Amino acid sequence: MWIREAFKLEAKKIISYRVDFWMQFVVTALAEMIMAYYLWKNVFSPNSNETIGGYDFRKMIMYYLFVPFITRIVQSQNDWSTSREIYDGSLTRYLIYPISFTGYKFLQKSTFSLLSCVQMLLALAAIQIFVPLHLDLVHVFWGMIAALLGFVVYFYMNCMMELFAFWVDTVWSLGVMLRFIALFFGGAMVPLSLFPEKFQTVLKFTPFPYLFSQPIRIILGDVSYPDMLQSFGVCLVWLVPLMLLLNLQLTKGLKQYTGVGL
Amino acid sequence: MMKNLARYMRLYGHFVRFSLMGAMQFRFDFAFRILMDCSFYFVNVCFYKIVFMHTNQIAGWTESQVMLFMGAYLVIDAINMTVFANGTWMIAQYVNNGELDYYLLRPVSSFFFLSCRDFAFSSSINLLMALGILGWAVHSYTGVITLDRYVLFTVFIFGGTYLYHLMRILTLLPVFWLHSGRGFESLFWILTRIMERPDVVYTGWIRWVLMIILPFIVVVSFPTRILFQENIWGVVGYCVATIVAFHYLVKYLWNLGLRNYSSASS
Repeated sequence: MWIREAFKLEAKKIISYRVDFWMQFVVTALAEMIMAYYLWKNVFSPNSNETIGGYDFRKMIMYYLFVPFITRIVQSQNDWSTSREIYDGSLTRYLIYPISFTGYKFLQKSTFSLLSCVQMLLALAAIQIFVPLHLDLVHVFWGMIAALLGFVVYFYMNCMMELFAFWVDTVWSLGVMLRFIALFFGGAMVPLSLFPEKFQTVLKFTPFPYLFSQPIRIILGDVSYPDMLQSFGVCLVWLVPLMLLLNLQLTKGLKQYTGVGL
Repeated sequence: MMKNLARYMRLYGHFVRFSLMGAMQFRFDFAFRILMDCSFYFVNVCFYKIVFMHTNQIAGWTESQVMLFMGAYLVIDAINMTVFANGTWMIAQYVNNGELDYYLLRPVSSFFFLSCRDFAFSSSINLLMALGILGWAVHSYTGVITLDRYVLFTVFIFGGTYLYHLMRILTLLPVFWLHSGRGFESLFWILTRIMERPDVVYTGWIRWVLMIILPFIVVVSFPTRILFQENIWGVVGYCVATIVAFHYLVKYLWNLGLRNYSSASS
């Protein structure tokens, strides 16, 4: 019951700033596309069928079209609210709620991610009117599932960074660092197939490729079903230690927490 | 004039001293910020290293030229983070809650006070790292760079940083009229990413937009061109004209904003 109410409340909050919500989405997507288009246009030889890392120019642009969409779903809204609540003592209210703190935070962030999924579908429909994208809807569906799974993994990683606020004065820089590293090793800056091969092998054992690169590749139809299931499995395997560590961190942090604020 | 300059220099010295005391109180923040900027430098340099594994030039610029560009970008970012970023971060909030009064009552330029009052020591460490990356890029550069080019490049690195700061302030100014500059501010951060690519890649109408209306490509790419372009006087002239134009535009709008400011009720 509380889940539905909390979801509605969060959705209302996000949609009440609807100009901001759409403007950020559109400008981010446009800036990303401009940067990608002009850079890769100069890297690919003109009028050739050259491929780089398995991508021809059109496919490369398609890849970058999805980068801002998937990034928005996976990273959700990062407002540093958890660390701020630890600093000012307002975390206390969650402790007296009859619901789990991480559960509530997860719901807050997932509302933004789910709305971003809807936003992505609307944007794709709008783009399709002008440029045929040749996308398979089944692939888009599985790609969104992969992105939502990536969101869960990223939520736990980011929440761990924020919970360091129990011990240290400012932690936003840790979150920004995680974002840089995740975007780079997750393939949001450059497709992972362009990385040196040995490096690609090592990255497969980390959660990063499953955050951005894998959902985009699934949408573009580059991942077979067995590989897709395997990547879901890897995400779920990573979630176990992340959940355990977060719970341990929260338990230890709450013992440290005084609730008076800084 | 000289007396006034000396007074501002003395004041800036005090800002630096107070900021150091503040930085020492938040040691973890100090360390974390260094780590954060290291990761930022790492991903930016690696990005081009990976791209150049698959090509030998980008729009006519070689890898060593692009690395000079990246070094300049990181230095400009680090100077901005050290000198201006912390100070400007709070301007919108000060306007909204009336705290701007405190800065307007001081017998110095409010623009200077708000822009420079917080010197970020952690970022100054990163500035050394960024300079190291630029030094490595210069060392790896295969062409010849003459001393006069180095001098002009250094001057326009500071010019580019100031232009970047002016553009940031420009996106904060709507707060005087709209009560919230959040939207414009976030747009600025999104658009600054355009600076991460050399200007040569942008062609057609987008190039004109990025040179005149939103001069992001003038901030880093134009100073970098001074190092290796044959005829640089067009670039130098354009940089000077843009910086001067933006300086007066921001000054005018800042004063207009202050006239519209009515303390806590803003």
